[in-house]
Amino acid sequence: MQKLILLPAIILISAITAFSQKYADFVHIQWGEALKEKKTNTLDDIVGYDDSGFFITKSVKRKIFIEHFNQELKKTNSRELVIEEGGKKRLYQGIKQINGELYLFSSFLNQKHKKHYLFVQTLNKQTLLPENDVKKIAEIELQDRIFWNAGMYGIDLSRDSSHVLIYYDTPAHTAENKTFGVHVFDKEMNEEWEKFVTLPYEEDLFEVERFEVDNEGNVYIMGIAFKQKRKEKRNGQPNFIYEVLAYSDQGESMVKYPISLPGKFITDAQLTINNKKQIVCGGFYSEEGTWSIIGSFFLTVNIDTKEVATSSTKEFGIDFIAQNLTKHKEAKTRRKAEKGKDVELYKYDLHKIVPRSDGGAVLIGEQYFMQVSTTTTTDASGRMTYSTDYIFNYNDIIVININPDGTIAWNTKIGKEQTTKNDLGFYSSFALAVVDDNLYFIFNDNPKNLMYNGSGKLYNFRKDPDALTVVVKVDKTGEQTRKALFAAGLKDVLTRPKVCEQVSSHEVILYGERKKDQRLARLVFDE
Amino acid sequence: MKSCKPNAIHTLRSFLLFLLSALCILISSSGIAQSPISEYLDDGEFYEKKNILKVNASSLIIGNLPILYERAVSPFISVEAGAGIILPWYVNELSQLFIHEPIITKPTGGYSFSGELRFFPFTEAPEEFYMGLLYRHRDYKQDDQRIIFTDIVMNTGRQVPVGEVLMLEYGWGIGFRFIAAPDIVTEAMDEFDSFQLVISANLKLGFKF
Repeated sequence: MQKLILLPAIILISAITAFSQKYADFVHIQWGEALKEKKTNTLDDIVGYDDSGFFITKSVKRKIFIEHFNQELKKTNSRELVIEEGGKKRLYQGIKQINGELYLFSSFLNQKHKKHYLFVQTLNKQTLLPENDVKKIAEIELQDRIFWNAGMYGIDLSRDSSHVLIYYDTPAHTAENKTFGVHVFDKEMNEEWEKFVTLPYEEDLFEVERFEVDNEGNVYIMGIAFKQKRKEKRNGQPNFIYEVLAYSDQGESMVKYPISLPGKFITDAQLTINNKKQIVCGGFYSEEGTWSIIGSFFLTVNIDTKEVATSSTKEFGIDFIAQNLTKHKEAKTRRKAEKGKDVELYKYDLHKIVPRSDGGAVLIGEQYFMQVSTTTTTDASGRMTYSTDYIFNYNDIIVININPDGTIAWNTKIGKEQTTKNDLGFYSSFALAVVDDNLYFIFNDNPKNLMYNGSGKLYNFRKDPDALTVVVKVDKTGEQTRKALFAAGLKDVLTRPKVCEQVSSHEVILYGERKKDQRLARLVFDE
Repeated sequence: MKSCKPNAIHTLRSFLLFLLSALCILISSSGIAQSPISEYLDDGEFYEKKNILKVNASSLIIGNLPILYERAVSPFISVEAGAGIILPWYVNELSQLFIHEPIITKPTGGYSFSGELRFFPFTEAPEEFYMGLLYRHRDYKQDDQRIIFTDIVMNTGRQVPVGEVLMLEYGWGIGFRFIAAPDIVTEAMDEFDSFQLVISANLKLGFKF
C-alpha cells in the first residue's frame, strides 16, 4: 500500500523537477495584457524607455502610431503621428531617445528647391504629440528631380547618448566622386560641427557600410573601396579593401585606416568605440570569396595617438567549424580538412560587435541565407502550374570572444535551425542581451532542441503552438546553458526576436504576436 | 434695473470670451504663419497641382482641335482625356507622308475623343518624362460620308513647367491606326489601307492647377 502511494509521488516530484529544469531560472518574466489588434498593426520599434514605462512605434498602412506602455506593460496612450504643416506632409525618419527626451526626425523633399531637408522636434511624452519646436538640421542637394535618388539620412547615438550623428548620403552620378555629409549635435540637439566630404573614389566604387559617433563627438565612417571596377574578385584576389575614416577636432582632422588582409576576403566587418578610447574593428574573412568564412580579424586603433594598437587574424579551426553538425557531416568535414582542403562556414553575417571593458571585443554572427524554390505541378488534365517559394534560413549563431591582444579567448556556436517559407523570417533570428559578463540569446526554437548539447541533429523551428521561445546563456568562459522561456501555445503568441530590445542593463522588452493577438513581456535577468 | 445687471454681466462675459477666442485663433494662426520651417516646406505647391488643362498645338496643324485634361491619380500615374472638333482642313500626318493617296482630303467637320494612361518612372506625375498608351478616335465628315480613325499609340515625352502655372509638353509616339468608312462602298474602300502605322509628334501647351 505504501509503495502504491510512494510511486505516484516520486513520478510527480520527478516531473516537477524535470519541468523546472527546462525553464530558465536566471530570468524573470513579467507578462503584459493580451491585446487584440489588426494583423497589419504590428510593432516596428521600441523607441524610448523611462520610469513611466516605454514607447513603441507601429506602422499601419503608411501611418505611424506611437504608443506608451506603463511599467505594468499596460497600454496607456496611443496616437497617430501626424507630421504635417500647412498641408505639407513630411516623411517619418525615426524617433530617438536622447538625454531622456524623445526626438522625432522627419524629412521633406522640396522639388522646387531641389533639396531634401531633415527636421527634428521633441515629442511630448505625456500627450505623444510633436512639440512646436521643429527645426531644420540638415539638407541634401539633389542633382535631379529624381524620386528614387533623393539621398538618405542615417542617425547614430554615441554610447553615452551625449552626441548625435546625422549622416547623409548624397545622390551622385556614377562617374562623379562619392560624397557624403555629417552633422554632429550635442544631447540638446544643438549642432557642434558639420562636414561635407568628397572622397577620391567614384560614386560606384565606395560603399559606406557603418557610421559611428563617439562620446567626444568624433565621427567614424567605415566603407568598402573597390579598385577600378565594382567586382569582389579580380584574378582570384580580393578587389576591395575596407577603410575606416576617422574625423576628429570638429571635422578638421581626418585619418584613414585601410583594413585589408592580403590574399583574404573580408566578408563582413563592424565598427565600435570602446571605453579605452579605441576604435574597435572586427569581422570575418574567407580564403575563397565572400560567401563563406574561415576566421575572424580584429583591429584596434588608439584614437588619441592614431596608432594601431592591435591587429590580428585567427582561423576558427576545424573543431569550431564541425560544431553542431550531424555525425555524418562532421566526419565528412573533418576528412576534407585532413586532405588539406579549405573548410569554411557558409553564409554568416556579422550581427554585432560587443566591446569588452578591458579593450577586447565579442563578435556575434548568424548564418543567414535565402533560397528560391520553384515547384511545377501537373493536374489531371495535364495543365502545369508553377509556384515559387522564398525560403529564409536563420541558423547557427557564432560567438567569438577576442582578448585585447587579439588572441581568441574562446569561440562557440549556438545550434539553431530556423527555416521558414514566404514570411521574410518574421519570427526568426534572435534578440541579444548583454548582462554583466554574460550574453543572452533569445529565439524561437523546436522543443526537441532544448537538451541539444552541440552535436547531432537539430530540429527546425515551426510556427506552431509547440514552438518554444528559448534563452541561451553564454557565460564569460563560453559555456552555454539553453533554457525555455515559454511555449507559444501557452501565451498565444510567437516571439518576434528582431524587434525585442534590451532597455536597461538587465531588462529586455519582448514582443510576441500571433494572428490578432499581441503581447509584450519584460524579461528581468539576474544581476 | 435689478434684472438687467445679470444680463449685462452675461453679455460682458460673452464678449470677453469672444475676445479671448479671437486672440487664441490669432495667436495660433500667427504661430502657423511664423513656423520656423515653413520656408523649407514652400515648394510652390509643386505637387499640389495635379491637374493640367491643355491644347494640342500639333493636332491643330492636322485639323483637329482637342481640349485635353490630365490628372495625376497616383505619384507615378496620370490619366489624360480629351475631346475636340475636326476643323475644315487636313495636313498629312507624319506616317501618311509615305501614302500617295490619303483618304482624308477635305474634311467638313466631325469630332474626336481620346484617353491616355501615363506612367512617370522618374518623377512624380504629372511632371517630366513619361511613357503612355493612347487610345484616340477621330470621326471625320467628308462629302457627307464618315471616315473613322482609331489609333492605339505608345507615346513618350516630357512635360516641363514653364513658370508657376504653364506646362509645355513635347514627345512622340508610334502605333497602329484602324480605318473604318461605314458610308463608303467596299470596292472604293479597297483603294485605301484599313490598317496603317502611326507616327505622331506632340506639342501641347497647358495650364496647371
